[in-house]
Amino acid sequence: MVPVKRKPIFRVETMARILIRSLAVLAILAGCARSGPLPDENKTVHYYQFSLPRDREAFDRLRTWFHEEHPEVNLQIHTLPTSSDDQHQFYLTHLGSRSLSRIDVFALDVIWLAEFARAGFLMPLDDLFPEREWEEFFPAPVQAATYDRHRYAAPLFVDAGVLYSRKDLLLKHGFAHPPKTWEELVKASRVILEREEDPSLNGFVWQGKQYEGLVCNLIEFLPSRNPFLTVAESPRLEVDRVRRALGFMRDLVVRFGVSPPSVFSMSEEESRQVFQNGRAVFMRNWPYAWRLAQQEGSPVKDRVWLSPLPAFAGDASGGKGALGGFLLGIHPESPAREEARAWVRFLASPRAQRVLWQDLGLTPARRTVFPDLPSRGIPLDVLRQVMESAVPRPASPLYIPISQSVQAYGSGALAGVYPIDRAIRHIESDMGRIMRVMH
Amino acid sequence: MISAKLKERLIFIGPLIVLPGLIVAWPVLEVLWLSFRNRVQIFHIDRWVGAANYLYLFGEDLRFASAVSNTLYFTFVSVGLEFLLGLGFALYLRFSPEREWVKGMMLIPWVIPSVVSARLWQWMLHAEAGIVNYLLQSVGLTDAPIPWLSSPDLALHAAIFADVWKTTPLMVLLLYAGLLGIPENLLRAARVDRTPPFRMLFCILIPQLRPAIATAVVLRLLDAFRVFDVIYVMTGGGPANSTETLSLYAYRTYFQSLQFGYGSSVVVVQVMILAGLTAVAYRLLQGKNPAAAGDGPGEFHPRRTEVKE
Repeated sequence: MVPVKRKPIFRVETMARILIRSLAVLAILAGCARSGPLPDENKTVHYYQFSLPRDREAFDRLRTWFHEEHPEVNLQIHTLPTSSDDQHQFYLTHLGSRSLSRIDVFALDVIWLAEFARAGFLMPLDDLFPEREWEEFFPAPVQAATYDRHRYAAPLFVDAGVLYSRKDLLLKHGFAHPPKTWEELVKASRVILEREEDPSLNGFVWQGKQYEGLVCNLIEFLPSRNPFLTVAESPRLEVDRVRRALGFMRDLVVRFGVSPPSVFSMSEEESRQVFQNGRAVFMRNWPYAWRLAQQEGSPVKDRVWLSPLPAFAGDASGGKGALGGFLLGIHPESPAREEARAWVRFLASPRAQRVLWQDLGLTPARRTVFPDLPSRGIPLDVLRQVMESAVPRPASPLYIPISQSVQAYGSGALAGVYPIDRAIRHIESDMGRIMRVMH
Repeated sequence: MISAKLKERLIFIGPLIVLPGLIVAWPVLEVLWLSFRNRVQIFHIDRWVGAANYLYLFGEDLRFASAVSNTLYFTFVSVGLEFLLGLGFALYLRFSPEREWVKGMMLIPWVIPSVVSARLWQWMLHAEAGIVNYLLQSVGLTDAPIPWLSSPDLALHAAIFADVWKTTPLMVLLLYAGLLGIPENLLRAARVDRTPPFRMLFCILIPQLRPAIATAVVLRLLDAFRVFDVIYVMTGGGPANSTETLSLYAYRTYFQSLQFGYGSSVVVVQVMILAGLTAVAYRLLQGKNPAAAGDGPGEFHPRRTEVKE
């Protein structure tokens, strides 16, 4: 072997020089950003929220309007990573130690409210609106904003599970409307699958992957509107209801054969791809999928019905979607409390809610804006009905660890790794350990 | 008082004790201390619970039990495969001509950051949209797409596969370096004696390689036992926790559930298993060091780079 001659690509000195120069440039830039008169910190509102495509323009517009009403307030909008887990972690680190950065107003996922309220990260906002105005919002987000009889947040936007059906296939096989009960959905799927004889066609796709979405799906398969977790002095798992829901979810795949086994690894996007490529008759998803299914080039364009999720036959309360969406909270130690409240009130106002819908597709939490809302191509009456009947997830400060246990063992039971009863026993004993923390 | 000699020693050794003490021992003790407590910082809960965390961990926690078995399975299978493949490639590189470009190619997977390679494999193994199933189906090996990442039986193997793909080059590199260190006259002597290839491998090369193997395997054992990134990206621990490893479970308990006490007890057990595993592996591999077994250090010559075929 001939010894290889190595020529250094960069010399150390060159590298060092580049490094020093770029650091100097950075320092100068940082200095520029800091110069200029400092705004009055007591009139500054630092607002933190999720990021969305094109949110900049919408929020620039909202900021201008807000400044017209409150010229004295200096508003700083900060955006956080898209992943909900990352946002949660950011808030926990930064709200806990105030020295890191100042957060006055922040957008929080509906499932974090109880945890944040219990930790003292949220200021009670009962008097933010008069009682009559609170009723202008959908009941579910207001319920989600309530912890220990106080309202700790104002709704920003709402989301809830809906059912998508293939209009063309249903009509072709004699079904005049989307199913109203799960039993009808199973029957329609089986009939259509049998008559279509298309091996690539599936009946019903939903989200059975091990993640938060699994809990949303589980809630929607519960036999009534009652929660799966009773949040009282000592939270309790509603064993019978959970067993029935998990049993039905597994049956959809194993006994009825209307859902493919791959639902156990599907999150929203995987199921949407299957449905949008015309390979499923029904899909459970959030309303965002409507716009994508209807866009140019979509194989199922104009062949989809949007409807509320089915209920079980004999359940008078009707179908329900799990509530998603975000709330707006204020940190109790904010020095600009009045300014922060003004900004929250503004974002929850009909005017701002309409902009969020028009520009970003965020469903208004204030139901009174619905009558004169531009439709953006989506059946607004269905959307309103779904949000009207949405159910929030259990409001426990320990929701996150409990939900993780449900996700883990629920997913194991669905995939048939162990029987459903054993999964439930494990969830219960996990809950016992988690709860002991609080007492 | 302290004798002058001790004082002198302390001056030199002192910083060496204090520094690792601060950056290693203190955090470890802190974690150990935490593992006997219930601490949820944000709710201002911090209480001594004795052995309760450990009792639950070993008594009822199925997730922990499956995390331990997943981690051990992942570690042994991936390190085993990496070793066999690594040895094969290293021998090829050592004893075949024109290996410069092969060496370059070999290193590519190791150069790619783990998160990127995990994402790559996640997409390639995607049941509906992945190229692996597409190829298998177009060749006619399977009719239905294989749910690589969504079947509890396959997902861990998929993760092992991605890990083997990524880290075999490291194994090759370490073993190749070891092979280059084997004295040339030993090989020449073997050739003169017309030693059959298998005998050469098992009686000369592998015994000579033992130190390099010990280093490489222990290094990889430590790494594989703490696996996080590949699995976090590819499966997130699912489906049905079938790929959840100890690191992932600890991370979830710490940073998503914020149960600092319980998370610490998971980590303490993980560290103890790891320490035991390393000790056993090292003992096994180092036990019969050829240098210690009579060949004597005189046998070792400076590395020779010319090979006359």
